[in-house]
Amino acid sequence: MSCGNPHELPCNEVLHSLVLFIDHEIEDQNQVHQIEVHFQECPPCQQELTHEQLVLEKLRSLLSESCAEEAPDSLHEKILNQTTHLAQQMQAQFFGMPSPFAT
Amino acid sequence: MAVALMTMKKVPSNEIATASKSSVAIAAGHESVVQRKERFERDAFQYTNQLYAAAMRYTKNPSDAEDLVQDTYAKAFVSFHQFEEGTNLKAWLYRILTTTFINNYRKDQRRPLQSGGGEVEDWQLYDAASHTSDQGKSAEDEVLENIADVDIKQALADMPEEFRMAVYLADVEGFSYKDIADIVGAPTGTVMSRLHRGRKLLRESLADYAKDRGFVKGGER
Repeated sequence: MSCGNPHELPCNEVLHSLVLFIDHEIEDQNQVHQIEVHFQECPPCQQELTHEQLVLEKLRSLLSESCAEEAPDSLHEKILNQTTHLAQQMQAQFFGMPSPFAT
Repeated sequence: MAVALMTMKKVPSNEIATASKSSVAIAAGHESVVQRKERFERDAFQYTNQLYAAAMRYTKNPSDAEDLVQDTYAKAFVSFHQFEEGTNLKAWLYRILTTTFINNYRKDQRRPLQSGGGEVEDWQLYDAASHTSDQGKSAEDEVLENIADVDIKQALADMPEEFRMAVYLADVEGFSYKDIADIVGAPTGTVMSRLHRGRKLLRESLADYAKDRGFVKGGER
């Protein structure tokens, strides 16, 4: 495209697969290799890759930092109590006793 | 007892009965209810904070998020005998969280679970069909350097639900496309489309925030 050299894999195909490549979602190792070779031969595509990788990395860390709410203690407690009571209900049914929670 | 009842999530009694019956088989082999409970506490409780943060993205409010996570743990415990040990417990819990959200918490219940075939292929139309200008690249870098936490949170919250889920599951939780497809109950191609369009939307709205706040010059992206 812009580096002027012919490639085995054309730039637009590489750029179409860029995100899949960055996300490690290309299963065909042959294809992964071809794309890597292309990046070595083609500085504009290499630049595109570096930029996309950086942006995604930055986006991921921004998202993770801003979305890291911790569950309130009361929730941890509720889940613990709930599990205990569900287990008691299961146990009661297992031993054929009527559950105190039966409706 | 009153306290216990107040904090309990409603689990249909037939589900308890099924879980109880499955414990007969397990007890015959190796696991009692008590052991199962211990295993559940040991393996599943560690994800409470993560599930809560995801539930905040889904429901957008703390009280619904708490209810959703508590519901998720109730459902997970009574079906814990169905969980195959050695497989991905975190993804399994996220699937229960997401399904529960879609069925019981989503504001607009009429929305279809997934939109039609149109979106499946168009992830290929992702912008990167040509090289971006250097100017565009550095403008975007500047946006990301300066964006505020509150803006990125808002930008994510404002995105359509399917895109928000895909971006969150991939870029915060690090799930693979295949895992996300299992979690949200959509084909992998659809997940790709949602993820790529979601990221694009997010980048666009961050650029808009940056422009509004005046720390990048408008226009070029």
